[in-house]
Amino acid sequence: MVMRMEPFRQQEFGWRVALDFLLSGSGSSLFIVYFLAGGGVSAVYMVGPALVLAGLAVLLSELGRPSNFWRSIYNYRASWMARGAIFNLAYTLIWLAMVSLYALRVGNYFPLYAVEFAFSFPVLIYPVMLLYEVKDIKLWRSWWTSALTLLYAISGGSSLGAALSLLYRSGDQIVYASALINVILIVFLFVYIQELRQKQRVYRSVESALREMLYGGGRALLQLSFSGAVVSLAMYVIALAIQPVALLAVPLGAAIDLAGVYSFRLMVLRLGFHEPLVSERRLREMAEGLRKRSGEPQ
Amino acid sequence: MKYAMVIDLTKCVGCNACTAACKIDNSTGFGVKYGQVLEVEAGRFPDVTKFYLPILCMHCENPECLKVCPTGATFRTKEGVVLIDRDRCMGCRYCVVACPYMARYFYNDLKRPLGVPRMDLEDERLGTVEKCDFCIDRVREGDLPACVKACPYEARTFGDADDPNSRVHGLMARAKPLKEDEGFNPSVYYIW
Ligand code: SF4
Ligand code: SF4
Repeated sequence: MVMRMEPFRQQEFGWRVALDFLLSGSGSSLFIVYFLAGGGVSAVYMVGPALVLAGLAVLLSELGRPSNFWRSIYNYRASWMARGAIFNLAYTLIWLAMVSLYALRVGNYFPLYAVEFAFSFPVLIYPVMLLYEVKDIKLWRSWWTSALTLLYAISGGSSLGAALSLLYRSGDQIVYASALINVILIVFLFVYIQELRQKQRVYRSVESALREMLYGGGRALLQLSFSGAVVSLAMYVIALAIQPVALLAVPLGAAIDLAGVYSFRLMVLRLGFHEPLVSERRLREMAEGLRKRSGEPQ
Repeated sequence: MKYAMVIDLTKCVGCNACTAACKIDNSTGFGVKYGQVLEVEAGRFPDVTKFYLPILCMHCENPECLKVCPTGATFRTKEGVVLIDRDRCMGCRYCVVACPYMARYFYNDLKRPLGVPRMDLEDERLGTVEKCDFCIDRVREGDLPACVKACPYEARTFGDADDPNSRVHGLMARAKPLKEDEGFNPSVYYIW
């Protein structure tokens, strides 16, 4: 006897939330990667937080009434949505201070860079935690999804960093780092699918998500996320091997990589399935109980 | 005091009188149902059981919607009813995503087909999230929720679960909630 009630999908977070995640993740990780690589070009330091600000603007357009953004700050309650709003705001304010100093060409920027560097981490992590906080969506509440979401964000940021560092001719160590991150990403993606195959035995929602990912509408997005990482890796290798081509191959690889990052974000949101309202065991009990009480033959 | 509802699935015939009463009483907009009746089929032909499963906000004791709400717009009253303060809601929809029972709706002009006018209260609801409130205003005046009153088969029983003399308290002994093992502790129970 087949007893099934299907998992249901969240419908509220869509392409705009994915875009915010892409922009804030890539922006903050660009800052981190560039800071760690010791990049000396001030203009590049301005790009990352500007992307985070763009992400915030996208997120505001998603709110019922964008002016209500302040409500999350005035009526702060511990939730990753509220933390995200506060981190983003702080990040933007520090960025404004940085831009002002840069424009006026006064003072030493380094202390501000260091503070912004420290704030980059919560901005990078909050989208991951936002998804992790939703208890009933098992795909989101998996450390593997979190790890991969984080890795994709770092990959997007380092790709952007690679493109910018070549533009400003500040060395190719970030291109090496980007290539390495993409290798890790590809390995993780394979492990992730295996992990989901294990989990689907326990959670019906994971089973649905995996089915959608491998055979349904999520497949194209998975392929794009995967091929984005692979093609951009190939571009970086070409760029490092044949230096004169680098200026063209690296930005191209970065663009493809960012498309892959966005696809992954969108896929994870689209596959946000809740567990079914009635579990299989409970549905069986209900059907048997109702049949007994209505006097039907067993 | 803790309000609870028990729904007897053996009595529900899927007439949707409760859904209609709720829509009228709350003046809800196009496509918005604070309560609905699902048609469930279990088994494979010819061995099939079909029944109706009315769902609504479960007024969880441990509500996911409240945990994730960044503004405190979602709160739980002393009577165990989960409510939304529209003036605090920023329309982020995190609660809609997190609710394990599909109980919340976001009021958005984009969801209404062209030409369908806004309902009475929709102007002030726009950009915020709403859901079943157990008709708390009526209940505080000693009345019953609209769905409970409208059910012609008395499939729904509402009352104070903490009162050992209440009918709902008695029924709860043999009733079970949905997603029982997840720890949300809903206040809506089912008998089958
Ligand atoms: S059913 Fe959903 S909306 Fe209602 S209290 Fe529980 S989590 Fe909140
Ligand atoms: S939409 Fe409103 S009620 Fe829901 S989590 Fe956001 S602020 Fe809270």
